[in-house]
Amino acid sequence: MTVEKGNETVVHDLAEAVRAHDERALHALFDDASTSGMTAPEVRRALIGGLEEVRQNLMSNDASIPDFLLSLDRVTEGLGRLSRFPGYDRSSVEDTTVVIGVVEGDPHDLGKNVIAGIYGAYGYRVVDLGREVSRETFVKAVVQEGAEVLALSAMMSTTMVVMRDVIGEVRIKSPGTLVIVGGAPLNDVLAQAYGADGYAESAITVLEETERLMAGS
Amino acid sequence: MMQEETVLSREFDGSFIRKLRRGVREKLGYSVGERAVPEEIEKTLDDAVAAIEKYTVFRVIYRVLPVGKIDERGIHTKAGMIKSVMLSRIARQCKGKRFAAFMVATLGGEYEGIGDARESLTERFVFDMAGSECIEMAADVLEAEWKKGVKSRDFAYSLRFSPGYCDWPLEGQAVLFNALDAGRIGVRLTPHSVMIPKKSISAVALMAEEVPVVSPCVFCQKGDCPWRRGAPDKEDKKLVR
Repeated sequence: MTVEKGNETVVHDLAEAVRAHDERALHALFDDASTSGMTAPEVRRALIGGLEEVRQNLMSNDASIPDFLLSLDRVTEGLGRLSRFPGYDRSSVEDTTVVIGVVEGDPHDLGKNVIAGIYGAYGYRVVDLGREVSRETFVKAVVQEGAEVLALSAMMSTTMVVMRDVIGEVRIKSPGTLVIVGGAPLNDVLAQAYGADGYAESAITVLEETERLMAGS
Repeated sequence: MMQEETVLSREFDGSFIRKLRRGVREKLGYSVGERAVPEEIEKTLDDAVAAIEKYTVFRVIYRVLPVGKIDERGIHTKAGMIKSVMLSRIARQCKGKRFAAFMVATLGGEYEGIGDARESLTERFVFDMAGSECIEMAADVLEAEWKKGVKSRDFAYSLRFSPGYCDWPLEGQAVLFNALDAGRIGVRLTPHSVMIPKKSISAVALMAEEVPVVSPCVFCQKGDCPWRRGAPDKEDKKLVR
């Protein structure tokens, strides 16, 4: 009973440390979590709980983007330490594969990096192809990795048109893969016109949009 | 009006840096009197500003060319056509001889490399935001000086416009790069019209004896446009709806 209470406290404190992006507290709490026998899924849920709170605050304008990114960084670091906990099984958590990249000709990858970080934190298996990725590389990765989701980013009106070719080729080679697009010059009308299944307006809403697509709605 | 290219290099003084810090904090979502800036963000901002001071020099190249024919699709210059209905409407309202002032400016590539090498997403985000704010602020300072200069010669000046904004397609970068040898300040254009280094900006402004409309927003009904520009000073205010 005492141990369970201890776990609840650690879970609460882990979430709070993520919310407050307190690196020092998180380090100490990982030791507490380890000694109190917490499992990897429990620790992971606690970390995501804190991050989700900040994400909701960002959606309601009660947090800034850097606040969210600080918490995201803490979660990413934390997830990297989960292997020392019992019950750690990477494959059981990361059951959906997302291939992500910035299309050819576009050197802007900060937004893509944030989205990749969010997918990773929320338990997706992320295959990050980087920036200026060719159509062939996207298609090859989607097929080889058996990707359920392909996330494409473009930040310029001159490069977003490349998406149409990538999506067309993916439709032929991997028809079951859902394609979600995002970036400054895009909107939902353009996303549809390019043949994408979904449009991520921002890093805040990419999860809802991905979940909506996965649910088939 | 001089038609030769001019190259300027500037380092940033203390006053600019103070304004830059304030501007970046606001862009990051920490306006004065609202949210407190987290310690980590303040420290990263210190690092970004230190990198700007140490590794960047604001370099700009500009050139003024006479405007030729103005039709409904845009403005003709010897560097090519500026394909913008909005700019064409502004140009047609101008009085007297008209000129187009072309400009490309950059912070160089070294700063970008430092930002990209930072470990965390947060740090990369803050570095990127600081670089963007720095180049925009430096261009604003230059534009204000320039405006003062042309006013003293009885010329008026529109706001600056960049390809990729309003109705001027990004492919319009080609006209600017025809007008200017931007390689002299280390800026090149990719086949997709992307400027490298990324922390670079390009713009054109119209000059004439009278420029009664300085902003295309006057002609535009899109009230929720994030790029909608108000009046830069009192005398222009009446021109912007």
